[in-house]
Amino acid sequence: MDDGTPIKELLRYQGEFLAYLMAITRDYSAAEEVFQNAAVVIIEGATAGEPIRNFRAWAKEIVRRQALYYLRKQGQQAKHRRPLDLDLFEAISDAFLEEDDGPGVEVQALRRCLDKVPAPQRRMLAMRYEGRASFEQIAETVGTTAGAVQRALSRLRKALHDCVRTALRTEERA
Amino acid sequence: MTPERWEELLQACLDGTLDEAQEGEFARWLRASPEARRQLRSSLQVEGGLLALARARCLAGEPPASDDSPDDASEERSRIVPMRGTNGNSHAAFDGWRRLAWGLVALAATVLLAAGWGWFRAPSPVDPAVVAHVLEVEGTLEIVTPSGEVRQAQPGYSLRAGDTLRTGDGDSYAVVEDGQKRRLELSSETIVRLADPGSHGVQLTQGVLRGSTTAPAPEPFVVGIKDAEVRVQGDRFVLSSSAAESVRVDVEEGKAQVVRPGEPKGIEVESGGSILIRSEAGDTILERVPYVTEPRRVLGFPGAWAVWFADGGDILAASCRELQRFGPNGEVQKTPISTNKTDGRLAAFTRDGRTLLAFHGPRPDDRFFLWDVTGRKLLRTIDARVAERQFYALAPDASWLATVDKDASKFVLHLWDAATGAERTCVTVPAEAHIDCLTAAPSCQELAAGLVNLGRKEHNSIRLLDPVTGETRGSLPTRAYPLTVMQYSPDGRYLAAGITGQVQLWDVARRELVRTIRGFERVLLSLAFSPDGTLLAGGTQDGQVWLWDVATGEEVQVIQAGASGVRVLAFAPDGRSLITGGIKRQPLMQWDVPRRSQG
Repeated sequence: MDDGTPIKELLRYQGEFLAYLMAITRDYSAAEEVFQNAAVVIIEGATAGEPIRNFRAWAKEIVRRQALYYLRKQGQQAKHRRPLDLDLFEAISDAFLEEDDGPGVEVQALRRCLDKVPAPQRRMLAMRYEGRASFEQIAETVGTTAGAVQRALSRLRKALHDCVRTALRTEERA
Repeated sequence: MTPERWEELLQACLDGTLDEAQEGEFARWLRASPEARRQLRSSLQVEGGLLALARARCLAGEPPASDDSPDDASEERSRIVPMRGTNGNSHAAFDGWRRLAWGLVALAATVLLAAGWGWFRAPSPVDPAVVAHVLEVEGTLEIVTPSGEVRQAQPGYSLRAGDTLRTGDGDSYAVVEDGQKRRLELSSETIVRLADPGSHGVQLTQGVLRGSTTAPAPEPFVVGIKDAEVRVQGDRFVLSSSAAESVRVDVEEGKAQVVRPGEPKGIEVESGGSILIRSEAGDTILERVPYVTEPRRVLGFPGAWAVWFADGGDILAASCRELQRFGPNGEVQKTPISTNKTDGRLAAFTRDGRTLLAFHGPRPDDRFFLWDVTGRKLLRTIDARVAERQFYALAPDASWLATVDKDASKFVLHLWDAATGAERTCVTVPAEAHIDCLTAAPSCQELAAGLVNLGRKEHNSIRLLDPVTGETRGSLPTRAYPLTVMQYSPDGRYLAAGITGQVQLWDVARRELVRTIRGFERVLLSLAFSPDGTLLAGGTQDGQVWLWDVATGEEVQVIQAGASGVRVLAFAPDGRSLITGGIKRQPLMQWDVPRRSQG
């Protein structure tokens, strides 16, 4: 294992795993539930005594399997929403499981980039990620349309992504 | 693909808003482009960072409440929390994160506390890792192995230590037996995890678990729950849990000891007794509730979906296929309604018993129809279909019908003029919401629709609608999930909302929550008020009917009517008995109800 206890390792990658599960389930509550199920398996497996050479890759595979289980169950129930197409699930999962050579996103780098974001846009981010408001609800609060909110958040996300990647490349060169 | 198009699809993927066509395009590009895959991974990491900062409430720019950082794993441990499993049926909101730390710590403790867990001691002589076998399965039983693989289990399946068992919803049911002939019966929507290798026992996460032993056992039958251990010495017991922080233990024969951290002596529960444990409140409630297992009368007609009490003591029962009339002296008259070979999906009588609404269901050309009970003829069909039983409501005077239709992306409420069969209007609910169930007010002037926002239960509510125009007149903020059934009181004053593990009783006119009834720790499939409104009956996923005093919320009686969901409940006009039905393979049964004084 890379370092520390299984819980500490899991917490280190929790955000990334949740983001993947959000892309698969398209529902935050479901993503949390699937993550919890995966966490149980990961913790149990990590404490079973077998050496794990690459915790992140091993844990990602467990997360992927739990996501697949969720999709299959959702397909059987077909209660609330059409489940994600399995072909897309596989494409996203394959991308998720691939290993990167470069450094991952550090939360501190993201914080520094966030500091450059104007307050109204930060509040919009907070409404979306902390308050889990819908685009319609945010639009009602700020006085615009849902489509405008979605576009604004997309641009903001891309800007943060570019800022973080630039910061990481700068640190590498330094 | 242009960079702009790629960015548009990537952002839609992160938002969860890709439509079907976009999904295909996105998947093709991901497969073809290593750079696209790298960008997706990178974007997921940024999303993960935003989620981490969201948990620490750092996004808006205000300083966090304490000097902590989302990079500090020890601090983060205190903020991650367990959420309930699905249903079914699932179930948690953002503040549920607080419980995951407790869950993970409890899990680690459970793994480490191997001594004293006395079940599953006799592994198979063929494979030492096998600790039990599946004996029966109805519906679905899934096994999740410790490595995360998912398998469908059938009778004969060998279970190993660490396996997690999950039954499906509906009438799913499973029986498991270990080497010492000790049995566990799992009701629908139940999740149980077998102890890890080297440990013993089982862990109940949610649902209803019924245990029994056929021979005296040298050691207690032990079941772990969230923060306690139940050691049962005896023949039969039931554990039920609707949420991570509560569990009910009913000892039918024998005795049990409930051991919690910090209470090494434990709490003894004798035969016929029950204990209700609520972790967050720190409550442990001992009680004795009278269980009734013998009905006054067994009527028959296992497939009936609707019951109505006629004059002279006759009881009418109906499915989509047939009407049966039960006389007070046991005589039965049968009248065919349709040529369907099965009893269909749902049926309901109007208030005067003269009209029957029915919907058979499975075929694409099936539609709702209205049947004249007295004239024994088809009145009309209505061009509506529903996927599930709770997605309709009929006005008690048959003046209107409401149905819910769902496609891939949204729920639509349709309002029909039942006198003509014409659709009056339809209402589309917001994209991130769905309708859980419907019910009609006795006045016929109001329709209640349970509305759920997935993942944001603080916004869940019951909408009160005009059944003609679809206009919203008001809202009752349930702030809970999942809502499985609703029922108005006969005078229309109250609305009872059945949510897993609780019943909310609302004063409709005042829009006030009068009382919340808890303790039964189960999914509710049916609700019925007594004719005088003093009693409320709730039918559960595992064949029980709980009776509560409406004025106080106290439980009055529990009827064990069967082993699977009770979907039909009807009080007799004198309120002294009620009929249960809709239980898989079980006939309609009439049960005595205790008399209550007027409040």
